[in-house]
Amino acid sequence: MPALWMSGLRKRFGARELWAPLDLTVEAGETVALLGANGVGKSTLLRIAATASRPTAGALVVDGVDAVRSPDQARPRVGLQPQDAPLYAELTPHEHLRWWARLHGVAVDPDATLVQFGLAQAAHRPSAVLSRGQRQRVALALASLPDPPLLLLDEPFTALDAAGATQVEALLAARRGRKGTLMALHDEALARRVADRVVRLDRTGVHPA
Amino acid sequence: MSDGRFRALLWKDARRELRGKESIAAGVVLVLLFYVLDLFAFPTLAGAPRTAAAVLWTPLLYAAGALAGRAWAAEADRGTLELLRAAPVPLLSHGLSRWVVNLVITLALALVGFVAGGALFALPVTVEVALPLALGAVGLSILASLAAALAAQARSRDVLLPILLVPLAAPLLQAGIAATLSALAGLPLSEARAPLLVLAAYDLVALGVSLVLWPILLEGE
Repeated sequence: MPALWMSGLRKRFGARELWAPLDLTVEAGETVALLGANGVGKSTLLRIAATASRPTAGALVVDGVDAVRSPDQARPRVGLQPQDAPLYAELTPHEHLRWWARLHGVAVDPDATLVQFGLAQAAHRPSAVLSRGQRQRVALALASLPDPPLLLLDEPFTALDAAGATQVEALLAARRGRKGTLMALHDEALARRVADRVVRLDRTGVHPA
Repeated sequence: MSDGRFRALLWKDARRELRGKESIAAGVVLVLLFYVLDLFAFPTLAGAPRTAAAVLWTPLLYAAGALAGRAWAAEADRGTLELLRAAPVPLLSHGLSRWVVNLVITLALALVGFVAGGALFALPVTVEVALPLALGAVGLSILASLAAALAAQARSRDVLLPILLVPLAAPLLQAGIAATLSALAGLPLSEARAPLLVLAAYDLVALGVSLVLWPILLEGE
């Protein structure tokens, strides 16, 4: 069963159609990198896959669940790291993780997760004072917290130092062969290094790169 | 959704308010500023029940709108609506959680106004005066939360919120003021039965409508 299956997917903002109807499959255990020019709609595609945005038309199945018809059932099967790493300014990384684990109904040791993502020093600081890289790490930790069948990463290497980038690669390696991952990237060389398959999004749809 | 997950949402929303303290502090200051202004305008409210009703209800209407508007604007501006949309719970539960926290703060502000009315204008501090204000706070917090969530992502949200809120709240305000006038005239609750029933029914209908609207309002573009 694929982690993600999109067929004839369309998205329109007002009169503007983002792409011709597109098809995309991410198999369970596969890591797919999505390349594309700025503004072509990579983030929108990830948000649709995460049920954070509704497609105008087409089929969307996440881990066997029809995500267009039953988004509430599909949502727990997806982890999304949005591009801007949005966090609550008043809450600390430790509180974000504890909250997210409770929402997923999983028992997680926030301290261990924070150490894994290199956030031990920032664990109890309000998110408002974190650096962009630290916020990105928290967003990655939240997205991967329940080890979801489908992980969606929007420019996961942005703002990360070398250690952070290594942690993302370790996360991808740990999922390979087990769970599906789709990530939007700009750097084609990096995409070819970390992904099993690289595809390109343009106005005509998704094509092998 | 399980109780544990809803409690987690409530915990997050309450924690943000308690840690930030901005909404509570701004709400209390707003209510008290209205009363200070009223002190200059109306040295006494004896024999002026309609003015007294306006003194009690105006800060409540403003505070409910400002509280909800601020909360949802912060979600939109900081991008955390994206976080909510990616959370593994139905979208409805985010709206309900935010409303419950807003309701508690709005009720607290109604209490501040109620006490200030008694202290500064010698208005009766009775159940007959408090009940319409409490029922009004429930309905206003629902309407304000819905209107604020709808307006949050609009460029002109500061204009849009009152334009949406005040007409929707008109029947509630009319019934609330009628019940308050009855209380200020020293009549028992039974004499204000009709407007109180309208207030309670309005609250229930508003809550029912909100259950349908929250998932639509919170769904991303």
